[in-house]
This record gives sequence, C-alpha cells and structure tokens, in this order.
Amino acid sequence: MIGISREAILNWIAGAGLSPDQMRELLREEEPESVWERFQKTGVLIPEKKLAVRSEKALRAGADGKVIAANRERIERLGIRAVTCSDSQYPARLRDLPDAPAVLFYQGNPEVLKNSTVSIVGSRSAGYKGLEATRRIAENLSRAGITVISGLAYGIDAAAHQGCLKGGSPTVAVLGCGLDQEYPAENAPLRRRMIEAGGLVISEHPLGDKPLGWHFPWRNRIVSGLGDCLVLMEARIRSGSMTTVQHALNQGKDVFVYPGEADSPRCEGNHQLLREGAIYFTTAEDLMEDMGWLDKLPDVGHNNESSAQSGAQLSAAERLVMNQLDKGELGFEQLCDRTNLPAAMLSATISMLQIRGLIRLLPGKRYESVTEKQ
Amino acid sequence: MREMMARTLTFGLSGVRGFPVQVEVFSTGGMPGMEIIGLPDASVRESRERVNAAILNSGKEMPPRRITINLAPADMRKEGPSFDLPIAVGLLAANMQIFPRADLDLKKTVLFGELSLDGQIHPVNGALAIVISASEQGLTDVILPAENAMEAACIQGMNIFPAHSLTEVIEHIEGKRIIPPQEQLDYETLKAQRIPSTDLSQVKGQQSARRALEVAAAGGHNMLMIGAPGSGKTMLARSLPGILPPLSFSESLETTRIFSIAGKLTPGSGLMVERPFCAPHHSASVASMVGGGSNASPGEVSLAHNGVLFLDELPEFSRAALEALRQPLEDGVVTVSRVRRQAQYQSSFMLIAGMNPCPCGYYGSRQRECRCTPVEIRRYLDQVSGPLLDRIDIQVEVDTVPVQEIRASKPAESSAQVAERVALARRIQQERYRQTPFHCNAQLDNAGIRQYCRLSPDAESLLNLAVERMNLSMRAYHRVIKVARTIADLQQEEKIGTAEIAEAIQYRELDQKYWRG
Repeated sequence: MIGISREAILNWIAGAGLSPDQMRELLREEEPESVWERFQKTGVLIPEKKLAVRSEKALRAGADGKVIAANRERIERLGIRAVTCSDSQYPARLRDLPDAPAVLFYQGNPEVLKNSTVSIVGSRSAGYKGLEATRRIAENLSRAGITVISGLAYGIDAAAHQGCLKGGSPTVAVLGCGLDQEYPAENAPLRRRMIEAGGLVISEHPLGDKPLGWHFPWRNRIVSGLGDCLVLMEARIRSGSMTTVQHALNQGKDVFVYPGEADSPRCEGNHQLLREGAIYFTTAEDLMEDMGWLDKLPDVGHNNESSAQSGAQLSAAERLVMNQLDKGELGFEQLCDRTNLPAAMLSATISMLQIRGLIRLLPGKRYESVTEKQ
Repeated sequence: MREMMARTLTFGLSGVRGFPVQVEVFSTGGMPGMEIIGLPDASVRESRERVNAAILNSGKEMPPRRITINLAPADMRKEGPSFDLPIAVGLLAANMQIFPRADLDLKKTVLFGELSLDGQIHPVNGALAIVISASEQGLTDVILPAENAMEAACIQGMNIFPAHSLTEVIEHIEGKRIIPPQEQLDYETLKAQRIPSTDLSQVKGQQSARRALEVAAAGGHNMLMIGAPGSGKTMLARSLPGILPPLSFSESLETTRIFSIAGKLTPGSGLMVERPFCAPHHSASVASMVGGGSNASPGEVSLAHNGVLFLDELPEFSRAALEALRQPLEDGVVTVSRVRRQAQYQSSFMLIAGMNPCPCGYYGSRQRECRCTPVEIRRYLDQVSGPLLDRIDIQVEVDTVPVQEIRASKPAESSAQVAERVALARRIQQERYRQTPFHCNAQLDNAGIRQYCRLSPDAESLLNLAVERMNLSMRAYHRVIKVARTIADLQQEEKIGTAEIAEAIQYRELDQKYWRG
C-alpha cells in the first residue's frame, strides 16, 4: 500500500463517475485509504451496492498499479492537493449545499477562501465597456482586500481575474475540467500569474477530464457557492452566466447586476434580472456598502485631482479635443468635425494626449477621456 | 529547278526583351511541302496553314516546291503568331512572287503580325517591346499590325508603317503604294489628356484615411487599411493612382511594355499615362501574383509596376502568395524561372492592403455586433504578421461613414489638389536623394534614416516616450521616423519636429494592440 497518496486515491474515486450523492455518502463514512484497501482485497467499492458497469470498469482500470503511479507522479508534479467533504479544510461555504462536490482538487493556497469573497460572472464575448467595468470593479474590490472568484474563461472571467490581480488580492478560479488541462489555452499565462500571486485554482474533476460542454453549467454552482455574493456583468438570456445566477438564488446569495448597455443583446440578461429585483450597482463601493462591508470602504476624495491639474498645461488644440471627449467617447471623424482641426493636426494632438495618458484608444478608432471615470 | 533563298527580319520575345530573328526561306525542287525549323512552338508551326491561305487570298501563288523555313538563332524558342507576316513575305520573295523596290532592304525592315486566312493582319502581344528592342538595335523601319501602331507611336526616330492586310504590305514592299507612316505622338500631349478614374472628391468623410493616403503617396510608403466591410477601403485605394505624380515617359515605357507583353493593353491604345491599379482576388495563386506559366509571363506584381497593387482581404491570401511578394517588395524586380525559360520583370509598386479588424469584420463597429471569439481574432491577425507587415509603414483604421453623414458632409478636396502637394514632396525627395540609390522616403534603410532623418531633440524625446507608453516595438520606431520624414516633406520642413512625430505615431494602428486584450 506504500506509494499511494491520498490525492491519488481520491482522483481514482472521482474518476469512477459515481453520482455526487453516492460519493458524498461514501466519503462521509469512510476515509479514502480504507476504501482503497477494501477494493484491493475484495474488488468492491461500496459494500452491498451494485455499481454501473461503466463505473466498475473505470475503477478496475484506474486501480492498475501503473496508472495509479503515473497519476500520483502527475499530481505531485502539478502540486495538486485534494479535500473531501468530511475534511476540516473543506470550504465552509460549500459544506451545506445539497449538491456540494464530494471532492475538490486544488492548486495554490486554500487559505484565501477565508477572506470575504465575491463571485464575478459574465459573457465570454463581452463588449469592451463591460470588460473595462469588470476590471475596474474587480480591482477596487481587490484593493479592499476582497477575493474575486470566477471561471477563468475568456471575456468577463479573465477580466475579473486580471482586475483582482492588479488590485493586489489573490483570486480564485473554478475550472470545468481536470487541473492538468490547459483550458482555455489562451489564459494559461493568467492562471500561472494567479498561482504565483497566492491565488487558488479549484476543480471537482479528476485528472484527464476534458472541458466538456456540460461540465460548465454544473461547475457554476461552485462558482456561486464560493462567493459571499454574486456579481453579473454581462449576460444574454440563455447563457451559462444565467445558470450561475440561478444557482446563487437557490443557495440564497445576493445577486448584484451591473446595468450594462440598455439596447445591446449582450446585456439582455442583466436587464431581465434587474426587472425581477436583482440588486443594481455600478461600483465596488456600492457593493461593499450593500454587503455591509463598511470597514473595507476606502477613503474617498483623493482621486479627482489629475484632471484639473493637467488642464493648465494643455495647448489650444489639446484643450479643444479634451473638451469634446469630456462629454463622452467620440470617433476620429466626429472629432475632426467638431473641433474643425485638419486631420494631420488632429492626429498629432491625439498622439500627444495618448502619450500623456489623458485619453485612450478604443476599438473602432474611437477615443475616450481617461479622467472621466474613477 | 533553281534553288532560291530569301531573308526577312523580325523579333522574338524573351521576358520584356526582344531579340532579332532572321527568317530564312529556302525554296527548292523536290517533294512539295513546307517545314518550319528553329525551335518553333505550336502556334509558330501552325503559321504554315495561315500563311498559305493568306497568300492565295491576296492574289499570289504558292508554287508546289519544297520549302524550308529557318528561324535563326535556332537555339532560342519562338512563340506566338507574330512570325506569320515575315514568313509570308519571305515565302513570296523566295518564290519570286514579289520584287522589293531598290530602296527597301528586307534584311533591315522589321516585320511582325498575325495573318488571318483572308490576308488581314491581326494585332499581336508585345509590339511595344519589339519596337523598343528594334530601336536599340539601330533599326528604324517597322511594318506592324495597324492596331499596334499607337503603342509604338511615342518612340522617337522610328518609321512605323501600320498595315491592315498582306496586300498592303506587298504593295508597300514593291513600291506600288507606300503605307503612310504613323505620326509621331508626343507623350506630353497624351499626359495632358489623362483623367483620374476615381477622384478623391468622391470619397466622403474619412479624414484620417485621406490624410494617411496622402502621406503614403508622398513618401511611396506601403499602407494597410483596417476597417469593416463597406467602409470605403477599395474606394480610397482606387483613388491613389490619381494623386501620385503622373508616369514619366520612361516609366510609361516600362509599364506599357509589360502590359503589351501580357496582352492586357486595350487594342488601339497608346502608351499608358495613368499609373496601373491591380487588384487581384484573394484566391490568387503564386503564379498569378509573381508571374509564371510555361512561357513565364508577367504576374500581377509586374503589371502593377510603377503603380499600385491593392490586396483587399489581406489575411485571406494564401501564405505562399504573400511570401512571394517579398522579393519584388525588396528589389523592385521579380525573376520568374521555368524549365525552359527564365524572365526578369520589373515590379516596383506601392502595396496597399485592406483587411477587416476581425473575421466577421465588425470588431469595434457601432453598426453591428461583432461575433468573433478572441482566439478567432488572434488567429486572423496572425495571418498577416511577420515579414510582410515589416514592409508596411502606414497602418490606419478606416471608420465606416454612416449614410446620413455621407449626404450631409461638405465637399471634399479633389485628387488634383492633393496631387499638387504630393508632387512637391516628391520633388524635395528627388533633390535630396540625387546621389543615392533611394528614390523616396519609403526606401530608406536604417543607415539612410540616420543620415537623412534628423529629429529635433524634443521630437526624439517624444518618440522615446511614445515607445515606452504606447508599447511601440523597435520595428515601429524606425517606421515612425520614416513616415515623419515624409510628413515634414509635405510641410516643406527640413527638420522633423514633434508635430510630425506625433502624427506619424497615429499610423501604427496594429502596434497599439488594443484588440488583443
């Protein structure tokens, strides 16, 4: 029996494809080691219980010495740890959920879940405004020492993790596949940075589980379950993010919905939820206030200086452009029209303002004033 | 039976060069028949039948004799139907059917043209190339198809005799009726008649793209336009020939010669005065881009010589086709090698490329929602990364102009107004690069940039700041300086100041990789 780690045994059990109820029952009554011992002796996983043929097959294949050794080696190399629902380190927020995962595999530091947490979810194909807002909110939450939880997908998820990292607090990702899978491949560097910054990556899937479509809506119950509240940034009506909201409501969590653009189909879900009574918010401060985290609120009032100060050093053309952009974002053509500057001069002016960080280029050759927000 | 022999002179084509070909006709008794030797291809060998019929239909006879026709030099491959006329005249002379007048030497008169069965003469490809080569060889008299006469009309010191039929040629050679020589055409008068096909005043709005186009034209910079479908990229590109300086006489000769060889010249037209605009479809093969085929004919890059090559939907082009652009972009010539042939064509062109910001085309658009994933966008943009992008100095985003703005907008500048400024900037560059291998700012290498692009201290610190703040690459750094040089030339400034650098920075759209986050 020497050479078999607890993680490898749990990985073996998780690979059998049992129902969550069966697994929870099994692991609540017994230590994984004793389950393994009994299986070695009798070939039976749960006494007096007939398992599906597929599960039996998977168990026998997984118990093979070579397979177990290879998995154990991989688990150690990737630094994967595991907790079961009967362990004391099992996340307290998940413990009482009716569909709580029996086993959680993780990389990184599980202590971060002791912080206050906010789960942020939203569309993978979000608009740049939604992404900007997500980064801003996650960053400000993070500054206040709140851990952001999300799903490491493209779009809103990635923006939430990035924002949180920028704010200095660790961030948590819940995956819909085995921890050895690099999915989405694009976000592999982000995942690495998260771990390096003391964050956490969690999954209920054993090694080798592929990121299949049906994993994700199911995974979302963990995303919502780990947060003290849920934030929805952008979602269509039929989308994974909306299933997360459903999970959160079932779990009795507060759901905060960012308003988003009123007429965009990307934000249809937001507006439906807001009509149904979700909590309206636009800034991290709103959220903290509503959650009663008043001690975390930063002192306000030292943010609004840059605009007035730099205004003094602007040239006439630069002031013309800034005056237009202070009213809202504009395209190059519109700027050309409203300022009456020749295209060459306008280009030069825009470069100057960009270099000084006063304005920012948006997709579609549009510009916005940076001092407008925050 | 007496043996008889006659010689006529014509030209064959190898690439853009013509080479003299002696057509030797030998007539003797024996088994009647006709043989053409000296590496003729199928179209030359078939001329036997055309010549036979044409002679009979011109009221002459073909005596039943054994005839051998040799095309010397015998080691060069001869192609095309332009040998019909010299063969026919040689045959007639060898069979004592015609007697050249005393002052006409058949060995010094260049003949070419395709015969039809009834004795008419059809135009051929490459007439201009042949006449230029003949002129280089010191020959002055050319009898050619009437429809090719305009092409040749601008060459100084040539006697061009445009012929419509074999009968006319016979009468001309015998001195019965001299064909009136083609009037010399002055290139400058041709040039004065040019009308740009697309005028810049038709392009509404698009202030930034218009300005970028002007800068590109002034410095000969290659340009990439990024914008949603229907934003006017093609329209802008099409108006570029109209704002470039008109073709000079020697440029026109080069370009028309290539068009003439490719058979792309409209029949009856003279030298080209408008710069060519070639827009191959993105399914273009390597051979159609750089040239190829069994006779190594010129491709799009050569047809765009001294003009504009427009590649719309750049990422959709095959990688091989884009790779093949590197040699012509680098050297201004392209070498087409085939088993039997090797030809070199000039191909110095301005590259204007168009692309969508993402596969569906609507990333960042206000009109429509983009439905591409980040991976799709990344993959799409990566199609054009690398060496080709390296040669494109100006990258600019083209915004879609909403319909109501198109109607309301004030009248835009015309091509002629922009062309004036461009011409001035080009003259400054010509002056500056008189003793150097460069012609325009776009051709400057790093050493050239150090020598000719002096930045004011303010401009230099601004550029360094931009590199740091806007994540510009080192590659972008040199491009910005070159473009700033052109902007300064447009302003007739000797030194490059902050305003020029600041504007040039705006033409590095792809470097500001905002759509990758």
